[in-house]
Amino acid sequence: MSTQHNFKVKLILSLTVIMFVICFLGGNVWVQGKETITLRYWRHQHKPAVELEQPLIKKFEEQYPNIKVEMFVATSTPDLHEKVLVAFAGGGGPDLFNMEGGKFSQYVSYGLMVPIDLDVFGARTYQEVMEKLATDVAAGLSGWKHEDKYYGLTTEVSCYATAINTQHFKEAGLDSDKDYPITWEKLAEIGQKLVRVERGEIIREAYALTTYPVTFTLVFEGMLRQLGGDVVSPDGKESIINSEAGVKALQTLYDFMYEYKITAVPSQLNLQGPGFETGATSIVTDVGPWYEAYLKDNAPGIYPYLQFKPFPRFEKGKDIGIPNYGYALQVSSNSKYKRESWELAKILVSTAGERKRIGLFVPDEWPWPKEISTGGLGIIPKEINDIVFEAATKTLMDKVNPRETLNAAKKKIDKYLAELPYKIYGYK
Amino acid sequence: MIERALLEKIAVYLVLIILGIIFTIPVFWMFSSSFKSLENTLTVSIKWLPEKLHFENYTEIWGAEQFKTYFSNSLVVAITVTFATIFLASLTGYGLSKFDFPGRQVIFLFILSTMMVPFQVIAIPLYIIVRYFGWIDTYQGLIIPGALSGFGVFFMKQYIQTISNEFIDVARIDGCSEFGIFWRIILPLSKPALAALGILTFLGSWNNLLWPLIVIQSEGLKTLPLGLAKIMQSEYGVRYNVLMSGAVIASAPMIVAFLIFQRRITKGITLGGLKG
Amino acid sequence: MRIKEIQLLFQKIFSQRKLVGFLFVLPGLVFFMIFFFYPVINAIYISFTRWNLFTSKQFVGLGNFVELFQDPDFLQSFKVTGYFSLGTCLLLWITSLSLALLINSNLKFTKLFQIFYFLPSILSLTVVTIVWSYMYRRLGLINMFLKAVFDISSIPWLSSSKYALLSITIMMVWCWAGYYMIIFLAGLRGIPFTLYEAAKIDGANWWHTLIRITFPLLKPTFLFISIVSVMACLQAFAPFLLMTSGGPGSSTRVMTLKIYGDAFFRLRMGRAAAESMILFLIMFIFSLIQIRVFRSEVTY
Repeated sequence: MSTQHNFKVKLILSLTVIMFVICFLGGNVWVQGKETITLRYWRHQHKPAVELEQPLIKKFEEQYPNIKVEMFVATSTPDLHEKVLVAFAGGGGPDLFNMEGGKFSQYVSYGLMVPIDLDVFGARTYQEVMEKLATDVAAGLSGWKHEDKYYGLTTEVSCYATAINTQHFKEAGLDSDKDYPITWEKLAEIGQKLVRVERGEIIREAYALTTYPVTFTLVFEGMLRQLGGDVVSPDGKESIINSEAGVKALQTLYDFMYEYKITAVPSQLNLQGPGFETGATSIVTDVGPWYEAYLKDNAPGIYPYLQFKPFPRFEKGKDIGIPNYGYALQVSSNSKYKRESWELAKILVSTAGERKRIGLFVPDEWPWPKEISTGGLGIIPKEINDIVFEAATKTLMDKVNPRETLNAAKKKIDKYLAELPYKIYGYK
Repeated sequence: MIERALLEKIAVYLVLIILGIIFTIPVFWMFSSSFKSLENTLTVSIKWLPEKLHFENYTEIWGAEQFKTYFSNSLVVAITVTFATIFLASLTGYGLSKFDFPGRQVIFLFILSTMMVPFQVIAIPLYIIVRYFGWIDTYQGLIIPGALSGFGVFFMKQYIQTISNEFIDVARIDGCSEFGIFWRIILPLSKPALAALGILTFLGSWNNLLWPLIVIQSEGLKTLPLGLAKIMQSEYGVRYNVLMSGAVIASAPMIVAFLIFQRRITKGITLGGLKG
Repeated sequence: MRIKEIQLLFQKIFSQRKLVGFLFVLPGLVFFMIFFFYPVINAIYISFTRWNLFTSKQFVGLGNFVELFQDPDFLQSFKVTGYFSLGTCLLLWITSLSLALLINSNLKFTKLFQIFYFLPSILSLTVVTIVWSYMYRRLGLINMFLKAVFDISSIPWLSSSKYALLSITIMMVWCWAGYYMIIFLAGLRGIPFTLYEAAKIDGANWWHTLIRITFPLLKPTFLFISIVSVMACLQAFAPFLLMTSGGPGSSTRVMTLKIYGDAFFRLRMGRAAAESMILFLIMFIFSLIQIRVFRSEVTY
């Protein structure tokens, strides 16, 4: 009896082991069995944009019934960047992804993407492709050019401008048109009327700084260029952030916080706290036209009071706005369905008018046309953003002399540029 | 003399109470803020209690922010990992403690050494292996690499070692199969250790952030820590009232389990501590 | 008939006690081989290469390690990890021991207090990080409480490099003190009461009792706690990722975060692997030191 039992138990054990092994291989077996193709499309979260793309994806699936599109939405752009890299690292990754321009130099130097498939557009040259695309999309293509080939289809080109809360202005007895600060200097003045303080703490800021390194660097770069400086020199070889322009720009922000007290000391860096959409600040300068659709959806109470204004200028500075940035659809070089991915991309950019309506392309209304045409291109490699942000926050939070922090930043950026195996886009 | 003793007693109680407050305030604050309206989450005058119970924070995070999905995923993963771990750990621990075969010490030391290696060391190679099996963004990928821990083996081995060999010898004489001995004698006798290990494993799996962060991509498979991180990292302003209700949901099962099983849990910890 | 022979054969094999033992261990062993040892060996190999995932691996021998020791960022993360682990562990040991001593006094309701002190340690570190991030805000609970009671203006707990590491330390001590308290308590309860009585008779005050009796007898417990807590501190990750991302500046960039950043953002796989090897070595050396220091005192 017990030997029988013994044997039975061993049988069960071996069967379990076999099942385990099947499970092991199971993943691969199942994947090969399918007849339909699955296209993986990855992008970052922006509800209005996602909502715009979903019917387009459906349209694509109807045209190609044997293809199913699996859309993955990352929580934010940095998150998408990380996920894409990790996925490529593991030998996988998306077939199609929507990435912003700052990563282009890095990705293309790693050979992660393939150029636009001319056949998909029935064209023989890239020029012909551009002619077949909507103006906004075609115009942005130059940002995705590498060695005479184009690697991306533009889905978003934008720059930041200022957003103000007209209700706050009204409450402070200000006219949001006449009294809007066109200059940073005037901002300091107006801000003091807008800010709300209780027991020594700012409970409603006049001007809120962004604490995301990427957006902060864009804003700071805008200020630098207005003063004739920049983060990196025009030939892309060294950093000039520690020029007088840099010191003045940083000092301006410092004064907002400690001299005029219109900007609160941020609670956390690398994160955004409750801000414009909760009425916690009257003015921000890190939003693009896409913000309108977002606000309407998420903060309907504040939305009626949103008004876009030009980016502030310096009294004695250049009349230019913040640098531009963009996103484009790119196809992975390790995708098994490159052609199909480009077909999907083609459909996704086919409604440029819709994109413009939700602010992914810059509207024709004031203040956008001037802002975007004067802004120039922005530098967005993550390392440089982090170095600039670190230097700025060291001054702003730890009250270290701007000259000191910017000199240190220059050294770090120079070192980074020297070690970079690829050229940062935008510089020769 | 008596007065001095009384004063001492009062002082100690005072300290205990103050410490008690310090240790519970954040938890209380989490609960309280989860019911607040957004304006009241950050105010100069501290609002200890919400002015009105905003249950909609919970409905929002459960539905619109998909915490119900994250919750069920965390549950599935944690339960599976727990059962797999206590089974495999006791299997391995039994083999290591009650049998003598060549290489036993070496194997034990090897398994022990896994406790010392930080996860960062194996993260990418592990990811590549999991990818090779086709398990990225699947339940298997999430569960199987966590199905056994060096600590679990160590824990069970130490405990099973204390089980008297007489039980085993008697069972062998009675003709019980080896696996039968394990299943019918060792396991039931190890119940306290299994429970303690089970709870600790469940805790570890429920709270795990790094591996799910690497392996999981689609919304439908995310676990609670990922859901919380997602809200924290939203590119626009963080809404703390909703975030707190998410935190409550993520911690509620652990708090409930703790209040019910706290004796077992503390016993389990001390078992691990003393026998180490 | 043949089946019976096979059965008998099986039985003969399985009755070899040693083999049975090995078979019990086998599943676990296979698991560790696949999901642990192979990755570790792979990681060691990678640490000797220069690899950015997309080009082929380039063998550089000890090159990565040499570079690391000259890299200010790495040395900084080394420093931060050291400060953090040391500071947190010391505070943790003092706090949890004090709690244990308090609870161990013969007062009523200590069980209740024990529950309160232990509660934070069962919370997920992610949850704890989130709640404390909220409390550390400029208008958050901590600042507003300090303002109400001491009229101090708000402190930038997480945005200033002066305070950030301290803030995380405080949070960690809050979270883990209860856990180590439980272990200390078990150790304390193992000390025979007669020893205390004898000490009292000899006229020792509480301080002497503490130093001469309690401490020495707690050594085994403390050995365990010191190893576990140092390991835990060296491996801590979630708070650094979610609360400060290594900032402000690099004041909270601990080694685990640097490894993560180098691997996933800068794609310097060889370097990240080398850094993780160094972290592993540190942990290993620490454990050895601690065991050696306590070996003479510990009897099993």
